[in-house]
Amino acid sequence: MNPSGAAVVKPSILSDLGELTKLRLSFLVLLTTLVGFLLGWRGPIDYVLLGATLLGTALSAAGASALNQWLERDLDALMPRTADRPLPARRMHPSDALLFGLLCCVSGVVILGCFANLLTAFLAALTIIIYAALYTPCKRITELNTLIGAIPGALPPLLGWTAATDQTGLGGWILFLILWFWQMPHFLAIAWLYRDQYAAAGFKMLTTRDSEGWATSWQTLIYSAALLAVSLLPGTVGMASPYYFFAALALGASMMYLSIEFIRNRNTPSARRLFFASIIYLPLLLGALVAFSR
Amino acid sequence: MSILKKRRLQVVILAGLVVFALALCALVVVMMLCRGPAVAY
Repeated sequence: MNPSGAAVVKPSILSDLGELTKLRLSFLVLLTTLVGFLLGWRGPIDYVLLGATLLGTALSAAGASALNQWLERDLDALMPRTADRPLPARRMHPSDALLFGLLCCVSGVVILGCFANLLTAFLAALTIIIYAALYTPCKRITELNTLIGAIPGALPPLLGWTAATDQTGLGGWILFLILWFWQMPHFLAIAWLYRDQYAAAGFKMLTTRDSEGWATSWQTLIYSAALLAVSLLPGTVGMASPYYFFAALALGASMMYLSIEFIRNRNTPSARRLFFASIIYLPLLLGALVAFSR
Repeated sequence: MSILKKRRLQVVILAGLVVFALALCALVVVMMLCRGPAVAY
């Protein structure tokens, strides 16, 4: 029981493993990789290649998450949102997490190199390096960390594309841009909701010094507008049919509307609505892209 | 090696890699069970 009298549920070892590998985030990475692969592939699907691409990506994503938590275990302990992760809660030894992370990363990159191609393996390695070695330390140094962190978040669909086509093409880069711009309103909304915790942990975030929320909310609108623009590109370059164009237009307009609501209210409910809308937005947009692809 | 045999070998290797990935996860679980709580992070 905790001091308030509520029962404390001790996380199981499996849930700790899920937490260490950021299961939900890794699932999203796999989903975007799958979309990149499906959009890039022509003809009957090579399921062995697809399976190996997803396995290599899953291992890379899980490994990068473990390395990220190994690097941030001291700061995670300062935020209630992350304090119960296995490392700050001391249910797991740091050396175990480090070993697991390194093994996953190396094996993921090797699998992609052997089954897909060296370009895909290189992109996976780049994703891991930017995420763990650049973004993670940048959180303590500069507010620009969100912009940097969105790069590894946007690379997985490009990775799926290169696995299918052996090259980065216009379609792959458009997917990268969609994912990059999508993350901005998504993460700014999270950063607003948890701004006190970020401040307590010493993370450099725009939201921790933007007490009125003007800059944060306006940025969500700017990025949502940019997201709308880039999300229309597949419809204009022949990747998808006009049906996709109108679906992207409606979804993008919804994100912009909720960003405007965030500007007008600048409170927790409006930030939460924008955050949840961004979660719904992505699978709907990617689903429309696959369904109406040419 | 025929295409069919090559394909079969690829599937076997991929299945082996899936087992390897699961073994990595099992390794963490075993280490957590054996070593108990960490003294410091």
